[in-house]
Amino acid sequence: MTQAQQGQDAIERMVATFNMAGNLPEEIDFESAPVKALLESMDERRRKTFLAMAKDPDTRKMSVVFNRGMGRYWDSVVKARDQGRKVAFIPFNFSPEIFYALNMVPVGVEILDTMTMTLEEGIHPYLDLSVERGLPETMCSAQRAVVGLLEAEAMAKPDILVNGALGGCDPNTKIFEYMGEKFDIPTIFVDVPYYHDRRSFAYYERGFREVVKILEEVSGNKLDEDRLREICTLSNRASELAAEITELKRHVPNPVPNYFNMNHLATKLTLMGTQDAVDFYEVALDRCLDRYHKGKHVLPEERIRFMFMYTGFYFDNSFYSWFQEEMGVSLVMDVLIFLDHIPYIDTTNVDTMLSGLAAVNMNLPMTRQLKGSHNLHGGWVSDLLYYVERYKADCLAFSGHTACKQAWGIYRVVADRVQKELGVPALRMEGDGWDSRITPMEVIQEQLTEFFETLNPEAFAQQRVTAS
Amino acid sequence: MIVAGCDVGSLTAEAVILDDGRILAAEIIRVRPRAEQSAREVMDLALARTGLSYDDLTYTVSTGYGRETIPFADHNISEISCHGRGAHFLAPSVRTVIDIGGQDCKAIRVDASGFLEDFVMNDKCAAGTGRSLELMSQYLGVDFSELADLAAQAERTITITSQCSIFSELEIMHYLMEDERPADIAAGICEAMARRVKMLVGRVGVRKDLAISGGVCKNRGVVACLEEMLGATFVPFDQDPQIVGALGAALFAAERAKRSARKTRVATAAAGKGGGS
Amino acid sequence: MGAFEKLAEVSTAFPSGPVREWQDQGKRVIGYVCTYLPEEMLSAMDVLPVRLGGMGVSDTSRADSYLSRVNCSFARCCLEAGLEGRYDFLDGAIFVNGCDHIRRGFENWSVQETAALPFMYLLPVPHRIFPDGFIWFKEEVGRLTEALERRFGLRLEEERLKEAIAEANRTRRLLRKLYDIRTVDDPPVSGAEALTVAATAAIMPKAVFNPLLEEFLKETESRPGVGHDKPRLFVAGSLMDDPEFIENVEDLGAIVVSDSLCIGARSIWNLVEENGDPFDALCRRYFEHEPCPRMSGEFKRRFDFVMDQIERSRADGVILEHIKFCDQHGTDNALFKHFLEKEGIPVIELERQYGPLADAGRVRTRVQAFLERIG
Repeated sequence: MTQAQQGQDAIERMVATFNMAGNLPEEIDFESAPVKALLESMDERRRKTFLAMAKDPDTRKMSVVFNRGMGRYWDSVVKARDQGRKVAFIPFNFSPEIFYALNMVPVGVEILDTMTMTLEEGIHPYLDLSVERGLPETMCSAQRAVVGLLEAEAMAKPDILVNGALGGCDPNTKIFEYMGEKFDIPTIFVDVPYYHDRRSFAYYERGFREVVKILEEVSGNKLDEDRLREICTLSNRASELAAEITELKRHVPNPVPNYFNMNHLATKLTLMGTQDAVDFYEVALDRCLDRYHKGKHVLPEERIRFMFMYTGFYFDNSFYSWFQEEMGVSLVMDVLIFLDHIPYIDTTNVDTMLSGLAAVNMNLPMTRQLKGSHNLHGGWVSDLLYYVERYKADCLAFSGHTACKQAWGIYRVVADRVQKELGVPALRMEGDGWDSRITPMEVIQEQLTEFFETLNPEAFAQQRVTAS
Repeated sequence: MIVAGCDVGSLTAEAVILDDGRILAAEIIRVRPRAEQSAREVMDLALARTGLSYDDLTYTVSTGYGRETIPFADHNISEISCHGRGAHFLAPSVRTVIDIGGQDCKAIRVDASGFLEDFVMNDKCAAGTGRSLELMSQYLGVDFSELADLAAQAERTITITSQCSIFSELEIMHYLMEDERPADIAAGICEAMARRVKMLVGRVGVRKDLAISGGVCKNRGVVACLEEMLGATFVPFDQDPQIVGALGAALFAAERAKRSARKTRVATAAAGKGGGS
Repeated sequence: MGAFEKLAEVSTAFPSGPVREWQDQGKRVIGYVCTYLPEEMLSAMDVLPVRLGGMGVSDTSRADSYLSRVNCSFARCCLEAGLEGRYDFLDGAIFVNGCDHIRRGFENWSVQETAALPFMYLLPVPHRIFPDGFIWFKEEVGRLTEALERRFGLRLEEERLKEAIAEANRTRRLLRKLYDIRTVDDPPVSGAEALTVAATAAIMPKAVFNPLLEEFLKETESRPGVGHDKPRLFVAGSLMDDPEFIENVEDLGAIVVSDSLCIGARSIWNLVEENGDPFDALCRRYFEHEPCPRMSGEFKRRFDFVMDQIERSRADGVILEHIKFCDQHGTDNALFKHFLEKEGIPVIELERQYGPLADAGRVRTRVQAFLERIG
């Protein structure tokens, strides 16, 4: 890390990146000299990301709106203190509306962690620093970089940590306590029950309401019914739009660009309750409907409808465009966008809205599927069967994220169930979703190509011949 | 008072003979199949050099991987403590010693007297040990001993990101196929090694001055990278750093010998007082 | 044979002698993991609760194909034992969602058509110690009780529960005495012996264990000390039911004088209140006892317990061990190290494996260096 980098707050630098990316022109001529020069000047990682989000015109349109919204959001994180707003670090699967309603700024730890990849120095120094300063290396790279940022004092500490998803997985549960104790940050907890029934929802909701009271104290704001309604209404609208887009994925061939998944995930976890989220989904729906009507799909044609049965690989965004433009693979789902079962929020009064927000949290990815046994109602197996069938997935891959011990511990049984009941096979991989050093992208691509070849020999054998 | 230290590792064995803090002899051999054999052989060599015999040794401490099986040792002490002690003796300003061996990597912190304060060790993963450097040199097609010289000719450093040796092979192959300069790749290998070591060292907390020992310390490329990453220059030793463990053992031997001599004196004095006049 | 030898012998067979005798009387035996399972509820119904471990397992290849390389070796050994049929003598098994590894271990075992036991139950425990969580916990223990009653034609009676509680409290008091003895200057009991005794308490009827421990305590009065001039160590971390690790450490010339292990001090330190509603008191004690790192927001309490134990036992240094991949203890240990060192207490962190993969040599070198450091 250079002196300059250390001096300037890491989040400020992320904002700068987004602002640049949010200013993409409508039309870009990739053959023109200036654009070629620009691409040449970028390092490989940036170039790949840029092409992934900007090359295809539909994706580009969506990216522009997305980047603008995210730029505004990260800017609010930077300006929070100046604006007298309290910053809360939350797990990625804790819906943000309540914070917006209390004029707080929520930061999803896993989102921030992923964003570290946009920094010039990248995510690796922070992953490594967290381990150097004592954190076990077996903890998840989806959170470790945030610990690294705190260790390096590369950003301001949040005002509060809300550990709102206890029990989904050990690393996610434990990391908040670690940060709270080590960096002396007040931490509050919401327990997640084991089951998915009425009693469990009521239990979670009681804990959630307790936390809301504490947040009122921390923020210095009382929950205002109108403001909350405004936010929940926006959230519902965004959910509606997202649901329509997701519905389009059921079409064969799938018209929704793969890259949408990435924007969709970030929007869902960060911007729900804001106008920016609605704006993004409106543009995205418009583009996807247009593609649907024009019969646009992955190139050269949709050969495979693919799903990650759990998380994917997030360290290289070109993954999406590789599938989109070369491989003819529609990436219909991964567990982080298993959002179909999230209920709308009843906006009648504060009570119904708090109930609704609690119910949203119980259904957010990972919490819903993993809080209990794999074979319980709402668990990993039943959700997987639902999504595979509904979105007509041809095949799955288990990305085998290194830190995911609960997934590794049961994925075999789960994959076997899907194979048995739906005849859909699953590829077993090993890698790290955020740390490119564990399994490089070339190897990942090679393994997937081989897998697809077994399912569609003609199409992919051709692919390999052209590549070499 | 003449004392000895014997260090039996997995690749080499060393013996050091001290007389009142002066090094009389220091020998290094490659290990034999059995630790006991190695110890005897290297000790015989050291004794031969001084013209002394086992009987002349007041106290002997063994250390290293095979330390518990040396019959002529009066006591055994961990290579971690011995290493720190020996390094400190050779360079008294040293507070952190980094030892990168063939199979493991240690970072040792000592206090002002050379006694162990804290340590951290990696002996499970090849990354950050001489083994990984050997492997990566192999993939590059050069001898391990030529790597640093090659890296010195680099125009830039190509970052090798893979931590696992299987993938770093692929990465190195890839760069060779892309016609990257072997010197630049060599520089990348040195940097990758240094990075891994730095992570380990961080866990123990670096305090100046620093020293480095172990087979890999002969690789100037790695050493230079590490110095840059840690923001410090390693204090050089005026002896072969390989003897540092045995030297530390000998120093401990001297201490223990003085202690038992004192105990004997006290016991004798007490007996003298208590017993008949 | 002295009392200690009799106790030590119990753990050499699985099922042990006392367990077989129990079963010969036509009574039930149920295996469990985790200190959050209220044992007395079972023993009150004449069901012997036996703590599960993976001892005797020599390789985990079958378990590894369900669980994986990145799962804790303890969970893998337990699963392997289940798949191999080593637990077939049990009438059932009760697990707790203690951590990712053990809950997936349970799930893998319970979906097996042949290897699963006739009664397999997972008791879901909240991840926080708070009033609403207690209500949930008590309800869940109630459900578990009903499930057992239905399955085995049993009935939980208040008087029997009171007796079981009194008996278990007696065990805890006796073990506490053992821990008190270890705090003296030259303890007559080694850490390995203490862990053996504590672990044995969890695998045999307390009615048989208690008199044996009383006998052993008496014997210690005339035993020579084994801790003279030795560095005194405190051990914290992942589940440890096999004294081998401690033997290795003590072999190097130290003595382990206390711990905060789950089978050790954390099982002993809290008694069940013997006044009032026994079921409520039972649930309360189990829910609120010295917490495992799986309980979020309790770090300060765990740290205070560790500090108290260190002071009580006048430990010179602390060993923080965790089984590889154990994030609960691994992360907790990282915090312990950070704060203990601030207090000037020497600490060594060790990563270990459970069962057949345990690597004694690696541990020895590190512990020896640590002892040299604090010596």
